[in-house]
Amino acid sequence: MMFLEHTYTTEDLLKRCRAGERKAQELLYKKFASKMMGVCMRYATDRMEAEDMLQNGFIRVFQKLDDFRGDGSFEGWVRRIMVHSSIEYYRKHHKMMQVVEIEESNEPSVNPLAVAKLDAKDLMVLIQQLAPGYRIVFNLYAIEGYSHKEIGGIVGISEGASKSQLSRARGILKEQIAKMERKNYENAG
Amino acid sequence: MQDNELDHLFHSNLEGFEMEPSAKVWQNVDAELQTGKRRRIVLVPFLSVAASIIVLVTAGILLIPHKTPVAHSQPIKDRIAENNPPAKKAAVVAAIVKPQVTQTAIAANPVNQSNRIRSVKKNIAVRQQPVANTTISQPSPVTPPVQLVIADVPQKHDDNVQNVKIDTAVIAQTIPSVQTIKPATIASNIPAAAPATKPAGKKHRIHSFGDMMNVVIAAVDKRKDKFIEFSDTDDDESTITGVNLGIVALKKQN
Repeated sequence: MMFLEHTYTTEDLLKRCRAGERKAQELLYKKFASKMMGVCMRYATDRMEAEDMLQNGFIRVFQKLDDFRGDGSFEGWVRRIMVHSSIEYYRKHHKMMQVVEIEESNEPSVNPLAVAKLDAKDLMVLIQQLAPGYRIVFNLYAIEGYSHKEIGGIVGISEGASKSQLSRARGILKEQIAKMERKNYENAG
Repeated sequence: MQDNELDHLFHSNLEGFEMEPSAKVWQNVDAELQTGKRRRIVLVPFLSVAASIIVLVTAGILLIPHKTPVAHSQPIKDRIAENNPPAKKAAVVAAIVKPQVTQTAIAANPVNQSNRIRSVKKNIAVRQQPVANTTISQPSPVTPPVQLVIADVPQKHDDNVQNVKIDTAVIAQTIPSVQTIKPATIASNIPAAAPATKPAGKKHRIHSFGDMMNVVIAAVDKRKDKFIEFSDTDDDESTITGVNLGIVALKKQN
């Protein structure tokens, strides 16, 4: 039965979801939950926050399902909703512009590894340790691929502010990676 | 490390990053969707209840009479004394007096009719004079209206009393149907007119906007309690006396 569930196309599920079929909603959720959890994780400080964002995002997906006209992929549409849901989360919690500088003593808890050996989870921890403002701009620019103009519109900041926040985010990340490399070298030595 | 190298490092590793969320996320989403659905379902009866309340309140406002409501059991004269201003009082008194007027008119009617018949028959009587002589001896079935006629006659026709008497007898004999019908019609007319408080024939006249509406609604709505009923009094302002919405029906006692 589990195999049968995965044979439904997104179009089928969408049609059934629009008719209000509860089972189809669950299947659609399951189809995209892990991918979207991955998106939310990049915008969150931790797993709990990411799940809150994911939950709000999926509620909005189901509420706005009729708005999806089929232009472009459904996954892309859901992803955009998740990104907006994540930004909205910070807006609601007034965390948006709180810029907390990572101090030298506040070292990342990752094992010291060489850059080549940095895996996705390590990078995720690095990104999550950024202040929300930096994290959002870095995610939108480097991973989602938005321009500074678009980011300014989404986040509600100026294009210049987007550029400077990205610059600061990159600086912090480089710093953290270098620290990890150094520790790795020391351990090796 | 260059900026684009850093961006690429994160993009390549995290763009397709996946992670299984805990089961409670779906539970919460599902619960939210169900309550949303329930809210929409609940909203329909809620709206109909709200609409009913608005209709009832509106009807209530319209049904509040402009004058103090009159108790149904109260006698008419008391009502006049207590509730009606002098101007109205005169009107209502006139309405009560009216039946009496009609009654007297009906009572007087046979006289007129008899007179008319008599004047017509007078000619016949004159022509049938020899025959009439024999009819005098006959006991004529004289009825009260005819007696009135006889009483009335000497005042107006004092030229020939005998002739008149003959006339009456002739009328009594030649047109017995008139005599028998007349008391019957009087008898039926008087009791019918006496207990009626409203003058007859009033219902069919359109006096006000309310009456006009009643006629129009009656043409459309064949039920006993119409969709909306207006007062049929002679008041200048028409008040709604009844509303029937099928489920909710209100009627003001008249």
